Amino acid sequence: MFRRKRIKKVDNQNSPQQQIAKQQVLSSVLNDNLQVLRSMYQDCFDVVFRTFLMGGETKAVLVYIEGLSNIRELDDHVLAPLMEETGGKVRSPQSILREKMHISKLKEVKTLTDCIENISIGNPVLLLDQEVSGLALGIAQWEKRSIEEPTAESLVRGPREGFVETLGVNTSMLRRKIKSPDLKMKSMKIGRYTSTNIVIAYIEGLADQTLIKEVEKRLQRIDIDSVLESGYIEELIEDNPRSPFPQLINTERPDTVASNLLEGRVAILVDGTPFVLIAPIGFFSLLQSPEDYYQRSLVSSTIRLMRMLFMWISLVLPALYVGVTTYHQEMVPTSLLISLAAARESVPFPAFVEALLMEITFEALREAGVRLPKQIGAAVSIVGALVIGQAAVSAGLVSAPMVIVVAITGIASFMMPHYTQGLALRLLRFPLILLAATLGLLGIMFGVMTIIVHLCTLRSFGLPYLTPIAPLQGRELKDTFFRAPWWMMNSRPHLTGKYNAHRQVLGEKPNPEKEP
Amino acid sequence: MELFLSQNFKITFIILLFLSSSFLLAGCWDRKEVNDMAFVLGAAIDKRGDKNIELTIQVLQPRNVSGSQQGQGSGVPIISVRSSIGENMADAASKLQTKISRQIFWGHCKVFIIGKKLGKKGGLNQEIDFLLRHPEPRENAHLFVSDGKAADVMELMPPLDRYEGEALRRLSQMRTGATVTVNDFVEMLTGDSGGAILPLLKILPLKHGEGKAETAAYIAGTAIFRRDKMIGQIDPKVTRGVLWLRDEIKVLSITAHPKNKGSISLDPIRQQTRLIPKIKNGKWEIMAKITSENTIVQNGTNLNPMSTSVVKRIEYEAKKDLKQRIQQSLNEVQKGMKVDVFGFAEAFHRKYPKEWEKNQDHWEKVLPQLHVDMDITMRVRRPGLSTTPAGLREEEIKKK
Repeated sequence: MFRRKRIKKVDNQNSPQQQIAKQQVLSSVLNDNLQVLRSMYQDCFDVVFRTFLMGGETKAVLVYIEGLSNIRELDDHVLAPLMEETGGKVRSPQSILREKMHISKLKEVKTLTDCIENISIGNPVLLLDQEVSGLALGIAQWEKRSIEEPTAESLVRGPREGFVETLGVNTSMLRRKIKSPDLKMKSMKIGRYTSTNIVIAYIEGLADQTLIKEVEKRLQRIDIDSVLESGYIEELIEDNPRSPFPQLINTERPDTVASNLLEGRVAILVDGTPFVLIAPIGFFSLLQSPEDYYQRSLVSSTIRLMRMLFMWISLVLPALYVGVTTYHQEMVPTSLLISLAAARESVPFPAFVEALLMEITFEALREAGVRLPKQIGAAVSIVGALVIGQAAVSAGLVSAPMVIVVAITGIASFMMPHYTQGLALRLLRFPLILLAATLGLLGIMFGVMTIIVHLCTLRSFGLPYLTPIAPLQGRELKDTFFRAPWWMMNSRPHLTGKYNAHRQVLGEKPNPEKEP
Repeated sequence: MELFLSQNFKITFIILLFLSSSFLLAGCWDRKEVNDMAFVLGAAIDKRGDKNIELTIQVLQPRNVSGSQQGQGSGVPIISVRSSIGENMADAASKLQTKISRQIFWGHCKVFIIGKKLGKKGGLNQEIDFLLRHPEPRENAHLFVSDGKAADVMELMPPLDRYEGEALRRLSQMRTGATVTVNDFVEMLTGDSGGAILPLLKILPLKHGEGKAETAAYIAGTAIFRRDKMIGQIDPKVTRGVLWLRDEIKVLSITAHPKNKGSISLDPIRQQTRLIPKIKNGKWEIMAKITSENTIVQNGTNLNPMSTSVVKRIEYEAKKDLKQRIQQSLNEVQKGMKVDVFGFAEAFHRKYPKEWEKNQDHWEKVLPQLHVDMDITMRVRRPGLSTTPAGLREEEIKKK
């Protein structure tokens, strides 16, 4: 009954044209090459074939895609000098290319695959008659979004730049933060149709070599037709695909990525999305906001403790309310119970249904607020606040305490610095409410224990999810519930940064009076 | 789609389906919504006839709580009083249930009042058993004895609190009189001495202009029990002496009368009483070591409390006053009622277990002969916010 049915690996290559092109070497006859290319780019109106005579005699073709290359550079520094008459002197095409072209990034292409790859990323390919290789000109340039502040992870104090959709810009932002040549970026392509550029970034000497190998192995396993967002990759490489908890962090912030790289973690940058994946991570890194490290330690420690408290609230508060009011009325202080009883007097539903009703309405409002255009968003929030806060209570559908509970839970889940973790907690809230409604506090304990056991079994790229609590790493508690001041952060996290354990020189506590 | 059709998924789904039915089968059976329950906020037990008791309870009326949507505002009592007669607590409670449309819930009843007649009849332990055995009633509920009929106290509408149960709980927690919970009471009953105390309630007489029930009960002394039978009562003054020996005094002030006219009042900061038993030549003695630290709250004499010699005098006078007070309660309870509510028996048992074993059966005979010695250390720690007595000129103040 429990026998596993193995799924046969499906290998349906459904892009025949690319199949033909693979490994096909360029021919020395220009027309043959052109013919193949033209047939490939049939019905692609944005592909331009520009035929001209180089130095007045050699037949040449420039193939590029409109809008992906810098046309002015192409005109001024490629076409103009190359089309110049040689003035009777017979010169070889190679020497003309060498002398006349003012392009810094040139690449020789020998196969059709290379050609197509370069054309599709915006590098015009120059093909000459009587040559078995073409030239890819690195003048790709297309419209990109300017660097803006990441809206999902905004800070009061900290850098205001966020990643954009262009991989090159993102890697440059990382490089600007970490100038050491030890910052390595390995590139690979995933996606049969999209052939999306993916970069694995890490710091050599800090990141575990086996971790890098593991990440590469998991990425190489992927054979998918498209990668439109890093979420595709995330789902394909995570350790436990069934868990509600995220096993990789996604962030839009270059500073977050840089600090994680400096702790020996690996970042996966995907072209076309501002969200960068970080692995491996633990549960507690999801509770850390980059601002914790920018504000002074006392303040950020307090905020971090509060965040933990509110994490629990967002997980269990509605369940606690349901459980206590349906099974454990003796636990409520008498005067509070009197108010509760008075508020619930006219409510027709049991507390469970009431909680479910409100939670679902709240989630719907939240989702609506995210999806709607900004102009309507305000209207939705007004309607939502009125409908939930006022009308529902005065109509006697729900009690006022329930509204308060849902509102506090909502605020608590907005406190989570990482949206994905907030989602997991939001999801787990509902089974907990169900458990509370059937088994009371006992049910909540069952639920919470199940969650904790699950968290204990979870791994993120081999790293136990609950480090440094389970297994306990005494020294790392400095950056778990509290954030120790920087002069105490002497060591890197043990499990990811053991190859270069010391972050800084010891004894940097500022002590101006005692200095000579 | 592959995921949803795979064997694994089907099996998991079926298992989950079975598991989820366990929720429906096992859970929910004792589910009680807040609006399906009648919360008891206070209960009174009276003797009714020779065999029966009468149970009177205050039940919360949620609709009358102000602040609710259909609240009728303040002025309307948030409780209603119901009573019924039965052979014992459980019987009466089950009969009460027939008169109340919602399920009775004892979990918030923090006050139980016992009628004096029932107390005098004895057999209180039979009713207390219900409070301990039933899962709902609280063991830390406060117990009282009412001077008249206990049910009358339930009818009161105290002017400050929302219902009498709350008023009594607050009164009890202030520790102006004896504070006894169900647990304490049972402990006292099963203790070596077999004596127990419960605060005694009286109803405040009506002030002019107050409606019939608009008054509250107050603690007017202490009921003294031997085993489960009430044998007498003492007034608040004597109660204080008892509380001093039981080391339960917390808030009450001492007023001393130095030889000059006027009085001086001290508020307690810290008090401690230790009972040290001693058996010398077959003579049983007990030494009460009392340490008391105080602050002056009123000085009606012409003494200047800034001078150490004067402070010594105040301390001496206060000590005298306290000694006299304790002696009075000893006379009344130990010698008069011949019951040990001070914890003397426990002290002897602890220190002289062998002698205790021999004498425990005739402790009633030993007790009245027991000599109680007092060693009182009285300290005035703070003179209060002013130094010299108010309203007196320099030359009128006595410095020594």
